[in-house]
Amino acid sequence: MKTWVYAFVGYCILFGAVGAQVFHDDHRLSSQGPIPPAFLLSSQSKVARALDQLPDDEPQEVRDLKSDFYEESYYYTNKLLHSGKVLFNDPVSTYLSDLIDRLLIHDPALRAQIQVYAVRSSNANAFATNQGLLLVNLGLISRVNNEAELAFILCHEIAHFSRQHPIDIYLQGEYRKEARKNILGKREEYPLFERKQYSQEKEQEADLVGWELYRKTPYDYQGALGAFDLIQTAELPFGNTDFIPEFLEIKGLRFPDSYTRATIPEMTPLQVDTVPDVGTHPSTSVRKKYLSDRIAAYGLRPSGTFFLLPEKRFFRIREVARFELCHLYLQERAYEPALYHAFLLSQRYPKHQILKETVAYALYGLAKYANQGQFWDVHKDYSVQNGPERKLYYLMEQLSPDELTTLAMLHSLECWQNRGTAGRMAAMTRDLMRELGIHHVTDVDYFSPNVSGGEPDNFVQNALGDLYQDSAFLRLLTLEIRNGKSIRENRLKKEAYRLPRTYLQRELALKGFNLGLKKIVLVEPYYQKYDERKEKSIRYLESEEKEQNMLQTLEKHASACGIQHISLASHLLDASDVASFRDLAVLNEWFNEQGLHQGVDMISTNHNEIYRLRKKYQCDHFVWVGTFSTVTKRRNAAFIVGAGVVVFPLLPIALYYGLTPAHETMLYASIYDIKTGKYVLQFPKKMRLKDKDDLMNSVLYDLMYQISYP
Amino acid sequence: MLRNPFFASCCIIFLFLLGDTCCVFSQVPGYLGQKNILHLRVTGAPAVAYGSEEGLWGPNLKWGLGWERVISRRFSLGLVAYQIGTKVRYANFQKENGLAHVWANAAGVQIHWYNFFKRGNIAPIGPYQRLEVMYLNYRLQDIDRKYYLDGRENLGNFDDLAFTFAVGTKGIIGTRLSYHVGIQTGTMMRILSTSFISSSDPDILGAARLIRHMSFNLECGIGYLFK
Repeated sequence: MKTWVYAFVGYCILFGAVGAQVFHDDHRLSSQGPIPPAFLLSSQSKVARALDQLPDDEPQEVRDLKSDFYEESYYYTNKLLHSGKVLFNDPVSTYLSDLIDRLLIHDPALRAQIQVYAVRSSNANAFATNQGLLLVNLGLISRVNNEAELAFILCHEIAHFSRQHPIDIYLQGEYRKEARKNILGKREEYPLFERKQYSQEKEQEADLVGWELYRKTPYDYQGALGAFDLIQTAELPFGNTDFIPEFLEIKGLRFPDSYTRATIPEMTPLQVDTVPDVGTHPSTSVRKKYLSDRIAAYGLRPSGTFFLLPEKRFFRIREVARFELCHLYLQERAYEPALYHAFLLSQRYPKHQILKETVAYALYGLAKYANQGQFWDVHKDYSVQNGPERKLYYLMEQLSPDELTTLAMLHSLECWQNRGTAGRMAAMTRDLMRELGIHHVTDVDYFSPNVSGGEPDNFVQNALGDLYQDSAFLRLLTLEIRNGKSIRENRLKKEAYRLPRTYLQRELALKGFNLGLKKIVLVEPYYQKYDERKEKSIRYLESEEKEQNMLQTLEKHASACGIQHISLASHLLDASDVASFRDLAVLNEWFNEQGLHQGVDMISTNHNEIYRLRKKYQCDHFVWVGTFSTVTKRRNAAFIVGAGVVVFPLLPIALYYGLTPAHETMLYASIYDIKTGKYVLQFPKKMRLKDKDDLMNSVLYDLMYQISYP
Repeated sequence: MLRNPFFASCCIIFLFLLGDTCCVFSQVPGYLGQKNILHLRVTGAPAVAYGSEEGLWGPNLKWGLGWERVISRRFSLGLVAYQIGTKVRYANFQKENGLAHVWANAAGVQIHWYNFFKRGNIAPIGPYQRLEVMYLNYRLQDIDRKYYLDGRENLGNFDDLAFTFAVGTKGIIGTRLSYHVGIQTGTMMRILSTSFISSSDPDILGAARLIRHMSFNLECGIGYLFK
């Protein structure tokens, strides 16, 4: 008996730990285990395989169209899979896979063709590809109310795949273009209305087929109807709790009443229903009514079953998605939605460190943008907000940049103190202290409490509370304010003695950058070839091949220039390289985030993970290289040839000019110093030349040479 | 002026010092680290003949051998030598026509500037402009021996300064071989001579023929790259 009791207690502890780990752990959702084959195969091999499966008697024109579709579809799908946004073997994807198992329990052949993955995106959406990939955004999972709703959405997507809707819609579009050519004499996009109508028909068909699949499961039909309600409120937060401004108050900082007076309107569904024909999907209310009619026709009764898998598991997974959603909002610079969702989650987890850090980072982002005078880039007018988060938007609008910076600094400091280690929060706190020095404060006396007892002119005066007595804190604040002041002075000096930008660019271009780096990490290069003379301008497969070649070229030149290098690229990975795959995901996320903060020098959301990579690869400098190559028709070609005929000795040149297209190649390279979080080099190079091997060799060697040259 | 050896040497030293200075202040990647090209060039006028008259048919070519060294991202500097062979018809003091070979050798410096800012290419590949300044020595060899009464063959040795300007494009095959194609125009100092049009002196005759020869050419060449 005693043994059983011990075993039971042990099980509870273990289960509790595992259950809690998912969203109490600092580590965010990430891919695990072996990399699935779909992530490793190139678009070229996927296209070849798909074409092999086409029937031999298929007419050549249809075959060509399908080939075009496969190229485009596989190329973009691979880009998405390699971006790291698509998760595999993580708790959410595993849950979705188990759910699909239940839905297709009677159709193992179809089940074998389908793979389902969670996608790190805040949009409440799911989609299916023609290859059987079902991709479900975390934004959707965080908003579903029960498993039955999610099951219906998956059934709908399975129907898209089983009926091959993606390729069907594509082919239909091409046929209609061809038909218009017969009438008008040229291929032309068929009208938007017709196109959307066809897509809407397919959506309705997917609803119907999906419903038939759903009906075979024990789920309650309310789940299917609930899925439509979910679509209607997809843009709204997952909760409906009034925002309480006290949530953000900290230390001695208290918001004046005038900052919190926004009135809250009722939450209303999206307005798209009033204009049913704008989207690729039919009006949600029409779809819901259509389904309701069918349910009524079947005479179904509520089964009361909303969960087939353990209910606890669903809620745990949804909670994981909600935590992740906060992070995704931060990455997308949607700081106020992140704040509001953190507020909603904090109702249940009031002391959760991740939520506190989310709040601190959101305030940090708002403060940084406000200090740069770009607050409205990341803020939306409170008066257009639709729900209970309006009060939050109003509050943010009322706060002046120095108030916002102080508020963010105090929240970051608290998180830093809770963690007790240096990292993102420490870096943010110091950065915000410097921001105070750069933009607002000359001395710590700015925070001296108002001892007169009256209302302070500026509520920031009392913000520090007991921190004002903390000598260690005051020393740090004084130091960083002083640093901030010197940064401001240096900036002013630079402004005063700044040489013309064009002159500097010219000098830099001629003399090179002299970075003198000895070790770099080459992150997956990007290459895209366009032929603007053709209707389908992007050359997908060629682009993919060029990407792989470019990495080889970069590696070769890096070696020739004496640079130690490590390459991280999806085409170099095998199934066991999940760690490298995750590293790539982190780097891509970081790179995309940096790209969003144009002109604002931000510490990234995955600062800690990037630091881990720095230690892992023992390298501070990460290099991203990309190329865009375009071919266009020449302007005035006929005139030049005519001139060549008149000035006949120049005819060969004129003919060459007139008969060949114009080429343009754009190379960009970004080198980041992970240690400082800043660009070491942004190298856009525009060349009015064809991307021939010798040209690319020349410029890529030059790039490596500049990186290595001391 | 270049007849003065001191002045000519000064010019060449100046140009190389200029190149060397450019090297100090800029990184010089070359093509995959290879900054030198040894090239063989042939230029020819669109009409592959010396002239329209009888006896004047023949390939209208100019052979050049050169070396260029990349000194910055957009410049390369080097030496070049040409060998030209052509024919000219003359009339002696008795108004008799005769035919003479014009042999010319030229040597000098060449500077290429590549369209680094306009097109984005880095020396030594891509579209370029080239200026050559050469000391040119030419001699006339009388084929019919009618110019002088004593029937001597050598009509004289003459010196001049020649300039050529070319635009073209250069590419690389593999990693070591380069090719270039373009058009070239050029002239000589003697074109400024007051008696250039009317004179029937051998030096003017030869110069006139060479100037016509140099006035418009198509050029192509191959080269070998090395460090």
